[in-house]
Amino acid sequence: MDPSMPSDHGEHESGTPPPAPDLTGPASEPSRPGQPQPPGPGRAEPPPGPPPPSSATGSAAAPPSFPDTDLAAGDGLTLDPPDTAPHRLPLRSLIGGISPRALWGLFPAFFVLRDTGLGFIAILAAFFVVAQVARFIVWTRFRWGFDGQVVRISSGILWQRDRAVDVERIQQVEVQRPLLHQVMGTAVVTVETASEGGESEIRLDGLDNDTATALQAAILTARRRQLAAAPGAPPPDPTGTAPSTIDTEEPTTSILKPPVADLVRSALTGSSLLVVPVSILALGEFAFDVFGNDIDEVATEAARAGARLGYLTVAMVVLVVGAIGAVVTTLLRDWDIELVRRGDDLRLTRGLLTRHATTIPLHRLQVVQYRQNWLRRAMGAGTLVVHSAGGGTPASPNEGGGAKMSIPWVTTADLPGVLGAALERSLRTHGDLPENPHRHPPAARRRLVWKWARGLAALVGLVVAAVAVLDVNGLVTVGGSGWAGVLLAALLFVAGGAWLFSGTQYRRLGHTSTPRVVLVTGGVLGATSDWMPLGRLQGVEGTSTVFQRRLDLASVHLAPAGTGNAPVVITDVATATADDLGDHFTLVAAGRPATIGTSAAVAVPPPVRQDAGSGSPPVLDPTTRPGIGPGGGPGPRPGPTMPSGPPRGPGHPAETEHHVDP
Amino acid sequence: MFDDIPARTLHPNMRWVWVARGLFITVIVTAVPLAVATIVAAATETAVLWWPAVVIGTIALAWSVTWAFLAWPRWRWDVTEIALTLHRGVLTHHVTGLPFFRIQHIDVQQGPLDRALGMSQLRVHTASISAQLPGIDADEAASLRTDLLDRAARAAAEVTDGSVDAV
Repeated sequence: MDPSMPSDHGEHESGTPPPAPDLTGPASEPSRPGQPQPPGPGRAEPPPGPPPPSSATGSAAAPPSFPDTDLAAGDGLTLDPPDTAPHRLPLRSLIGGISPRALWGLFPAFFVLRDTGLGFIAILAAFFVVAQVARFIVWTRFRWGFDGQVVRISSGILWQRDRAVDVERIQQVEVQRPLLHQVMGTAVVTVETASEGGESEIRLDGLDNDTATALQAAILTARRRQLAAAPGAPPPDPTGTAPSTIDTEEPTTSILKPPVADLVRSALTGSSLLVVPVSILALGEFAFDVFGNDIDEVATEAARAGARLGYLTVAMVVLVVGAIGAVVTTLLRDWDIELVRRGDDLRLTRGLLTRHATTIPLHRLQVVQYRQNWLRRAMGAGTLVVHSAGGGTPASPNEGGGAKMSIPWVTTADLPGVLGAALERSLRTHGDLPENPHRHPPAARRRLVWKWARGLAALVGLVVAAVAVLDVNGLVTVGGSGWAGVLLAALLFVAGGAWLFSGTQYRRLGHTSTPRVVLVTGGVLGATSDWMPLGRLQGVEGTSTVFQRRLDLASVHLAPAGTGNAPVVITDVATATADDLGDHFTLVAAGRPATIGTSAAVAVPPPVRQDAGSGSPPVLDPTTRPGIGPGGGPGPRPGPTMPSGPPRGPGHPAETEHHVDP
Repeated sequence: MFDDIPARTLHPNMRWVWVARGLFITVIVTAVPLAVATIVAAATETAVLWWPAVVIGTIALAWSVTWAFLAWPRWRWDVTEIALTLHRGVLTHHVTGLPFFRIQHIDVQQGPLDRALGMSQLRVHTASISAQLPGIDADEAASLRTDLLDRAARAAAEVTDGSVDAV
């Protein structure tokens, strides 16, 4: 019995930083007295008295309370006292953990050192010994523990790291037995959550077999119990819901199927036009490799041939070939592209020679981006990219969670339908898509003027410097009055360009939000729109640089889940607005639904209709509603800078009351 | 949350950690141009051009020490009802709201200097951003983490809206 103990080479309760006895008591208590000060002074927290959620649910439901001894008995694993990580890995984990790959790493050294003969072996041995000593020292400091609620590891010699993962956040527990481990009778246990990093959050390399399986079982049991204890809670883990299994026959509905003509249009208006020129450049490099020093002759010959044909003809040929290349590559990639909805998944299939299928479960969808360059905007279409949290989720093992899918040609007429399908989970409860983005304050324009002026000045500076160099070398004669002209032209160009571009960019800046979806628009000549379902908002960050603060501006970053998903940024809104948006979206990210409608009304300034000329946000649905949710605020809607305290108050108790079980 | 300054400050010793880090950066920043200058000097057989390195080093030193003392009062944090709130930044101000509901796991880290000065740092991970909270009293770090994890578990139990997903 008690397979965890054999690994316990000596006591080592003391080895871990947190003094166990201190914490057991207070830890399970919801709000302990000596604990972090109550929410700071000021308006922040409206509900009178102590916040109901913490006091009530904490003691009643008390999911974080600690060991069930029967759990321990059932699974053959003794649970540790809370907040401790008492166990070492067995000593033989050091042998099991030797990685053959690391030995391969020494292979190059062989070539460097083979002439040293015996010395080589000595060096190798020294390396090995040093590495093993280092590993031994690391091993002495490694501890793990599981108290029925939290899995802990603590490691590190100089830099000590102590990690705690709550069972509820655990996505996966895996037990692996590589070859060497099998020989040693050990296993590798990896515990994964949905955190931003790519690797496992916890890795116990060399746990003995019994402990490994017992630990896995104990964690899974605890997790199941946790989920059962909170029936209302959405399973924080897609594993439990398994919404997208391929075997179940879900009805599929086609959402969008751009015809070939549209694919050709997208090929001729986008960056795929560059495919051929870029490959010609690459080919040139290849030609250089092939012809070597004869390249000059070949080039001269080509130039002579070109001259015979006329350069205009050559340019035309290159253009036509480029266009054909773009069309061919696009058709190869996107032939017969179709976006369908199957069950709760979005599925995109495409490709001529090889068919690609990407599946994004709707509950993993993070951001929908609509991108129009100026050509596509003029043609009333754009590219739609759907980002998911990515990563191989256990929910869709067969198709691997695609990180994103992109549809090259979506007309503005088709857009509402596609958005409606993609954001369906969010629209189910609160009908409408956000529209009529709020304009940003005029100070944002001023900042854009400076930005453009800076960029254009750098560009012009380069040109002027180049002219100056030519002048000095006598290739061009500018002369005194010529320089005055050049500088004047440069100045006019910078000023005019900055004014013009800042104007167009400013007109595109916009943001708005319903209780469920936020929309942020931007762009300069083209237009961009980002929709983000708020149900998956992970965190909020407000930033203001020195320059922004001088203009009383700030930006709000909304972080979606998933590695590599850039945040959606509301750039350059008034500081007061940014503060309100920050508060509001933090509440939203905390999953406080009842408050959302209320504080949206408060946080977001009254809508200003974006002028039709800028046309950046595609017109979505004729049934307009100013981007405020159906809930609306109680009473009259206050102005933009109104502190969001009072109106939010009523929302809280309403939301919390059905959890506060008496 | 976003517009009022949170109540809690970092451990006062955090300034010395930052100063130490500034010294380290200064050494690197000075050593690189000095090394380049020495190599150039050796190649061209001229005297070592030392003053650029000294100027850079002085600026780096002055800024990093000033920064340490400017950053400390700017760094404020608190645990509000729904989120961990961090305010920080000297030139660019950052305000982060990290709802407990989104917390995936929390690391407590302690470097050698931290240990000497009786501090730990917390690293709070969500499914997208992770926030670092340095300069927490070493005795308090573990209980703070327990508290945050507790709140995270409770928050998860409270959220009942179907369209709210943890990830």
